Amino acid sequence: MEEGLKNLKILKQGAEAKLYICNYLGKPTLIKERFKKKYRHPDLDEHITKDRIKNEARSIVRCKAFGVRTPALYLVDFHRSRIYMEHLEKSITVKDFIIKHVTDDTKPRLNTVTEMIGQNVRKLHENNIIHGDLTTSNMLLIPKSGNEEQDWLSGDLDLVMIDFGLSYIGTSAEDKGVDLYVLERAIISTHNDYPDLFKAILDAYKKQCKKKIEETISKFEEVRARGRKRTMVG
Amino acid sequence: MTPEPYIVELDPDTKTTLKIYLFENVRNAEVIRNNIIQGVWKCSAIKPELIIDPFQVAVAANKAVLSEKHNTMVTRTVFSEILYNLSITKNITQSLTRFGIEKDTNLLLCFLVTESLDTSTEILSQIEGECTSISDLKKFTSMKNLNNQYKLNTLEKNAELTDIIVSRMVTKSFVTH
Repeated sequence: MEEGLKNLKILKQGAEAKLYICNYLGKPTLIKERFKKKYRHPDLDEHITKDRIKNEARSIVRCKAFGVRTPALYLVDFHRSRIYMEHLEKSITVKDFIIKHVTDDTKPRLNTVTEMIGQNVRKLHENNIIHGDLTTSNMLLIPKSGNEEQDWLSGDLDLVMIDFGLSYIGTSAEDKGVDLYVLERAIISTHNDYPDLFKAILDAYKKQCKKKIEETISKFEEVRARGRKRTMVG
Repeated sequence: MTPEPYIVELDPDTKTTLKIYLFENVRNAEVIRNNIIQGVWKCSAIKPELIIDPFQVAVAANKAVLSEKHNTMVTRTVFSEILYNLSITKNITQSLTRFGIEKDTNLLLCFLVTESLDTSTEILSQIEGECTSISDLKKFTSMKNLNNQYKLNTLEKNAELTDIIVSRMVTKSFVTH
């Protein structure tokens, strides 16, 4: 089982999983491997891991049906607790894009990006997909297909949503409000030099579709006032 | 001279390579089909009209060889498992009849090659038809049937079809598409 690991390059290690990069079936591939938690009973651990893998893969394919770009899935492997997916080599996280490329002169470019973020998050919520971990690191910019240049400040871009490890299906305004709140908190701590960033995203989110949005927005305001967790008092 | 097949290495743990040849104007499809069903020929024959990119077959074959290794196959042979994996339904008969061949005149022939076994040369010589370049596959793809089979009709126009198709294929055991 460990044999295949020899040719893998580790990209990142998180609390739940390790990310490897390799060439698989002739394509640049990202492997997300969930590791065993020794403190859990082995049967329970297997069950939880399998459920989380299913959940993540399910959200990724659901997104595609609704026109939200996500990495393509090449293999869901319960034996090795891995998801094999498309590795987007020509990509930059929205976080790095803002930090490295946005200056006073290129502010208009940031508007197209916030517009895309608002639209995509709205599409997720419209279809009851709650991402669970919306941050600017979990959104990638890629050149639109056909556009081979890797110039982030010109040319058409696509937004790709990644890391659906904490995602779930949720229909309530509360779920969507919390999802927005998580994004707001993440943006405040990562991009405190752009105080209007979240507002721009929220504006794009609101105007993406005519369907009623007041409930989600008012829930969001409520969550913002009280914090992510519901108070259990009373 | 036979045009170059599509060749791709499958999961390293399986030490298997996939080779795909495209044939047109095939005159002995029924013989081919019978030989495969009876297990005389170790290969699978696929309707090219439902394949948009050879990578789609690579994903299905990769899953098939891994299932074989772990004894988790749903069908009887690794070759029928490829057909089953191509489909997004869990209905075995339906998958095999839709993706397999009958009296077709065009077909894709897939071989699983390992260090000790390569059945392709022997079988290829018995196909009565013209082997053409895999890059011609597009000519045979039927968008109408593909849309039907993979339920692509509701998608936006600029969607990445191969991506969506393979992602649906590999999640069918736990997602209803």
